[in-house]
Formats: sequence, structure tokens, C-alpha cells
Amino acid sequence: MTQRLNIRRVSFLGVLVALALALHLLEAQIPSPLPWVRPGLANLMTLIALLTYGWRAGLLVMLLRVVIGALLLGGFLSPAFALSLAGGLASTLVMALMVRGAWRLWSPLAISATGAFAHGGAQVLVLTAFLLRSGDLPWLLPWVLVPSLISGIATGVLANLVLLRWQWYFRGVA
Amino acid sequence: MKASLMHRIWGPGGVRLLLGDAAVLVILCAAVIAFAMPKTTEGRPARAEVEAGGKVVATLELERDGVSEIKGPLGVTRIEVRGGRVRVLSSPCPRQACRHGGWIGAAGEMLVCLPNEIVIRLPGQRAGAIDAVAK
Repeated sequence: MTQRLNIRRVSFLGVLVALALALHLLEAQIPSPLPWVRPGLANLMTLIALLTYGWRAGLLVMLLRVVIGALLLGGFLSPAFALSLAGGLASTLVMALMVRGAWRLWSPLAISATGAFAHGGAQVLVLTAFLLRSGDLPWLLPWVLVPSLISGIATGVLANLVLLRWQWYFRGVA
Repeated sequence: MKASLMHRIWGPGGVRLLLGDAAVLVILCAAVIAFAMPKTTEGRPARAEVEAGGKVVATLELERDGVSEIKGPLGVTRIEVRGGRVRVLSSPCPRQACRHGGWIGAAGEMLVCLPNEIVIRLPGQRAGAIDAVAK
């Protein structure tokens, strides 16, 4: 990368990855009747990285969180890891596109909700296309999308709160 | 949500909820509903209605295979559900037209036994415009 090494940037992204990992591990401990339903709070850190340092930073935080999380919990390169990675990639890319309209068109609430939506959609897509190869799984779609939409909205509200509290920091960055 | 929390999130000088937020949420909800709809309106129906003497006497879940017995004026008509389809297994009627109707599985299809006054109906709109062709 041509960007100059910025200590403030590196340390901030490091904090985001650490927070994302902590939330990721915490969420993995929560029992759920539907195993794919997670609060998705770790996504908050990806969103903040996207908003502060652009799409590369968001992608970095997401990739590090998913890979290190899988290494810590076990299941690296397993089907569950593939699902997690596909969801993370889809949501990060969609959110990166939407960040361009942030503050003018919409707030992080909408970005987070759309990201969660893309996360669920991509997981169902990968599940039907590669893992199950059954073709007629879209009945699962509402069962995945409705919870992810709810959690996306909740995370979005939280994102707005966090960004409000951290305004003093973001003024110096963006 | 409490007013104070709302104020803290979107209060003066803070992060505001914009028009785009509402628009995006509406679009996402509409997408979820659109994905959820097709199973109920188009394609394969979920249940069959059985009428005897003009009244609905049973609804059969097409996911559950099995044989049901429905009483009519002539006797018992046995109706089989298997693999999401329905057929008349046996009928006390003389012509056995209902039994020769075979399996039905698509929305809008029906099997009728006039002598025993039994109608099996799969609710919904039929995909094609033509009901039947007489030759």
C-alpha cells in the first residue's frame, strides 16, 4: 500500500480487531435455538473501520476477525468457516458501497441493517450453491433474513450511539 | 424506547436518523416479505381441502403422508397423501371417475366424486389459464 504508515491508524484498527474478536468469541458462547442467529455485534467494528479508514480497513478488520476467531474457536477452513467468511465478505462489500452515502443520505443504522441483510443472504446462497446442493432451500431465507434484519437494526442503533460518543476521535480522522 | 435515549442518539448535534434510513429499512422489509410470499401463493399448495356434501370436513397437510377416510352417502372414500400430492385411493362409487383422476399436486386442481359428494380441492390460483381440453 502506498499509504504512509500511520501509528494512530494502525493502533485504532488494532483496537477494533481486538474488540471485534472479543464480541465474536462472546457471541459464540450464547446458546441459540437457531444456530446461525447471532447478535452480530462484531459487525459494529467492521462498520466503524469502514467509516473511519475506508473499505480496505473494513475488509481487514472483518478478515482478521473471521480468521482469528475460527483459529481460536476451532473450525478453521470448515464449512462453518466458509459460511462465516462469505457472510462477512458480502456484508463488508455492501456496507463499503453504502458508506459513500453516509451522513448525507442515511446514517450507520441503514448501513448496518443492509450489511446484516447481505450477510444472511450470502450465507443462504453459499449454503444452497456449494454445501447442500439441494437447490430448493430458499424457504430458509425468511428464517435467516428476519433475525438478521432485527440484529442489523439493533447493531445500527448501537453504531449511532458509539459514533456519537466517539465524535471527538472521528473529527481528527475523517 | 425512552425519550432520553432517543435524544442521546439523535439529539441536537449528534448522529441523526435521515430519510434514507427509513427508505432503506422499508426496502429491506419489503424484500423479506417478497421472499416469504411465494411459498403461500404460487407453486405447490401446503394443504388440500376435502369437502363432503358441500362442507369442508377435513384439511390434509400435504407434507404428511397418509391415508384418510371420508364418509359420503355411498360409503367411505379413502384419500391418500404422498410426496406432496393427493389421490383417491378407493371409492364406493360406480364409475370410479375420481380414482381415475390420478394424482393432483398443483394449486387450483381438484378431484371430484359426484356420486359420493366428495370434492378434494387444492386452494390457490391455477398457473395455466386452461382447466381442461375436451376432445
